[in-house]
Amino acid sequence: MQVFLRQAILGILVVLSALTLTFILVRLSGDPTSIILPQDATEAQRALLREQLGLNQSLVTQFLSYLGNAVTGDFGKSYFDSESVTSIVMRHLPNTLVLAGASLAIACLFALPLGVMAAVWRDGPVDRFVQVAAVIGASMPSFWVGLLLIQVFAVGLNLFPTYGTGSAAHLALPALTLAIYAFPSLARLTRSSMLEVLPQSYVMAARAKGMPESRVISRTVLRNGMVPVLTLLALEIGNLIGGAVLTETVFAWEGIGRLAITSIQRRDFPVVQGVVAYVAVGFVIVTFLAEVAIRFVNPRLRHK
Amino acid sequence: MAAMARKLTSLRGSQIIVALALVFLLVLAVMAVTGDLMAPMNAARQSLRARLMPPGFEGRQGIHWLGTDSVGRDILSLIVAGARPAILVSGFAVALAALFGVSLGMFAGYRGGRMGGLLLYITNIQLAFPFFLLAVTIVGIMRPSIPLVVFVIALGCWVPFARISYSETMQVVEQEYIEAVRVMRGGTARILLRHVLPNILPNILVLATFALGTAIVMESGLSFVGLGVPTKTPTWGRMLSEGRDYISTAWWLTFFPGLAIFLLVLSINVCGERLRDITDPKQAGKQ
Repeated sequence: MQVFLRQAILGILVVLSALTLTFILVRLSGDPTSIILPQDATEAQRALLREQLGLNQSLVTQFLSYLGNAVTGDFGKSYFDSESVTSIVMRHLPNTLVLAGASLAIACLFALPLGVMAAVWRDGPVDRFVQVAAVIGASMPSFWVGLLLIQVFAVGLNLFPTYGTGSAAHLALPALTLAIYAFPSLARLTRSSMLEVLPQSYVMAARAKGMPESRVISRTVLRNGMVPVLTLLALEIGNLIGGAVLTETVFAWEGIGRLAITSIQRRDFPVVQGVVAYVAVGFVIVTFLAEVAIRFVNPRLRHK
Repeated sequence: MAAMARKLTSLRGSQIIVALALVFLLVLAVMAVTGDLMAPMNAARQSLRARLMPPGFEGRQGIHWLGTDSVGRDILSLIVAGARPAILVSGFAVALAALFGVSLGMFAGYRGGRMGGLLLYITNIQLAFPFFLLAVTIVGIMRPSIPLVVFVIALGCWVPFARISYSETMQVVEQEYIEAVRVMRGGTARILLRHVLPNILPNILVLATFALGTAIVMESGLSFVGLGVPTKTPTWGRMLSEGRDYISTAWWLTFFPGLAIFLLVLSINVCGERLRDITDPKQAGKQ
């Protein structure tokens, strides 16, 4: 119980720091009226807008009302169209979730079995392959991988569209890009945590009582070895969202990563603040769920 | 015998790879120092008649081995010129991150107790957020400049330094010889710098190598979304984003700058693995 409480406090602090940081950054960056209004706007128009945006109140008041509104999910409106930030973010969020989910699924599909095989047949061909692939994969910038995939599969073979959002065909290349991005750490951790479990005495005991090797691996080793992998998966989702910023930009995939970049480019700060805040909240929830899942998989941790 | 022979050959193979990586790093380091001098052509020179020419095209200035970009600049020369921002920005960022992380980690590890808990908590808060999104937000809102990009990349790299030096310092200060220094009235600074730092330095070096790779990827990523350091000729990341518009007609615009980033980071990571095997033989081949 205490663990959950600590996790919850950590989560609140994460969200609070994200909100504070973006607030400070935006306030430091200058007068928003010069972004919103045309250049030839009169001083009276600017003053009016400042009044409307609450910019002439004290910073503390502004910050508190910003926090208060944020708690209720109100991040104001985009500077450029009158749509509310929350509805803009919510419109883009599903695309990112689909992308992250698909790529995580692809990455797990390859990384988990390969990592297990690499550990079971240590120093064998699969192990070599995983090690080399992990070093190479970890050295390739994801946006370059994306561009290479476009070159080969979209331009060369004409199998998938170059960029855009919508169909499953559009999803294939960005999902593959992010999966390649996630593969190295996932495969390596699976391998090393399996290697830690394999020499344990309870594995030997299972073998000694005549349990078939496949069952030893699938029940005894996997269950114990998967705990750190689950923890990593939670971190990996955050990593994927970070990686999605670049991947979505490469493929013009209408997710929140691309939304963040385009909003930053046109200095649409309320949207930027909203994206950061929602990502923080989402990530905190994922980490929390991972904690719960780990306790579900590994009962020994429940009483700690 | 067969197993031993295989081990020997594989060792030799990996040594060749490490040697290649070192040579490549050396060449790039020289490029970073000399800048334009190493470039076969003037990287900034545009030519309307030699736009988007494929690798091997012979122009007025000579053969463009890696082709030309959309304004007729020589890609190879641009890549050479781009080595400097890539390496310097990441290098300074990692140095800053190491300095900050290690001093904080050592101090917290020496004091222990609350300080340590607080440090770990702060690193947890930072790890609980996708850093690249934070980086683009900070740089984007404040507008890119060299010090800001260095600072932000350092912000993205300091956590492992702090954590490792924290936990290692905690182990070192339990040793008897530290107690002996304390008895002889050695001050905190003396203990940390003369007695703790040399002990944890090998691990910090390994960490710094890997961090350099991460920093380069981060720098080129920032450049790719238009938030990198402002330079006269495009950085590698910016070359990739400019080349993206011509991806269906001119593959070399994106292929070669990306290859440069990849080979640089790969060389760094290969050296890092080797360095880790040397400093920590127990871990060798484990990861």
